[in-house]
Amino acid sequence: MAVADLTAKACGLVHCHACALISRIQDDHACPRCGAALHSRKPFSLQRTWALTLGAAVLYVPANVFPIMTVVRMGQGEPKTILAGVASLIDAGMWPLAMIVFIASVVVPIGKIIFLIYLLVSVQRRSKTYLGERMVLYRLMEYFGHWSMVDIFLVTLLAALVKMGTLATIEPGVGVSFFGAVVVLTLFAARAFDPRLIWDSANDHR
Amino acid sequence: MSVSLTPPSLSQDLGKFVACHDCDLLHAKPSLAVGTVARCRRCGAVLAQGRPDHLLRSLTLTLAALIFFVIVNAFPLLGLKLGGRETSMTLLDGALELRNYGMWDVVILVLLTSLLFPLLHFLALLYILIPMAMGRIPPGAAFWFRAAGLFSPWGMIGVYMLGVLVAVVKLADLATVVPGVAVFALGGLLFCSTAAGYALDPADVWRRIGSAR
Repeated sequence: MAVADLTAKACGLVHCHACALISRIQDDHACPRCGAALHSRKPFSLQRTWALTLGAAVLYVPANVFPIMTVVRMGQGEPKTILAGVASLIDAGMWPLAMIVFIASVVVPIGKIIFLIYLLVSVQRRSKTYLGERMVLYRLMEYFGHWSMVDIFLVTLLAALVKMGTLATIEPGVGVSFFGAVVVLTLFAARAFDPRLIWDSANDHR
Repeated sequence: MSVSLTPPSLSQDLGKFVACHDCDLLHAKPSLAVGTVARCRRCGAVLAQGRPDHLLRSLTLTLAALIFFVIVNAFPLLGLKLGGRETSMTLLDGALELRNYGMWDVVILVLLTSLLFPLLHFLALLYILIPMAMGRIPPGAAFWFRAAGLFSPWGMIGVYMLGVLVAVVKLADLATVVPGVAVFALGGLLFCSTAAGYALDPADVWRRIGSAR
């Protein structure tokens, strides 16, 4: 191993995830400066990330099958799913809105699930290629992950605002609950994944 | 620039080293001029940054954010006019509305991400930054600064703002939407809290907390 590629772990050191202080690895100890639990790598990172990612993937099905809201106008309205909502925005000529909702509710969560599975599989296969690219993927997920919440906020805002009886009412559907669970699970999944594992296989000169 | 780095021996001062948060690569601790950034030479993550006057700037911006936060919650967010009738709602109404449908999971999620986590984040920061700007370290500073770091990714004011904008445009063909004072305050809140995040140098805050022990 080249000296330039020394990691803290290889030197018997551990980096505090909360305050960045370097200390020596001991079993089961807390950061001497901030008191956070110290782990050289996030504990059970792969197992936890797999569980959370697969959970999100499973819940994404009911999130799309069940309606997320019903627009009742003049006493009539049909419950709509996420995709039907996007379609009705396109019908109304609201292209930019349709794009925002589609990206936040379909592209981001599905992209996150696919990328997480790719990261997990590549780490488990001890892949030494595309290290920088996989790091970029990880950072993109961290940065864009929470934007899927837009749809949840949108439904709660619309339901709270449009309450005019038979004239116009917007009611939330049970799909919101499932979609909210998907968003929370993907957020936890991305945080459970330890990006240092990507580089550990690169340092593995066997 | 190639950095020659030998593995730290037992006698060496560990304070001279930093490890990359994202890839664990060990670096000699950089000493940075104001306005410069040190990045990991392997994965490009930010290792340290020299930020000018960071305590006062982040304190001022966080205080401003807290004031905007109060305004956001005290005034109506959006109003709606349709067929001679008018309704209006506040941010809290929006968060609580779904309890009428028994969807408590969504109520809790929205309450936490749009209201509670941002508020706790500001309060925890102010608890540390106000005394620190005056040269003192408050009791429990390490705990509260860690807590602020935990709350911050779950505060989703920016996403909420986008939700408000989408709602306004979407409702335009159904009824007349009246943006309330809180919408503009929300913009101010978003600006100040983002700027406060960029102004703060957490490494320096930790150094001060550590040296007080």
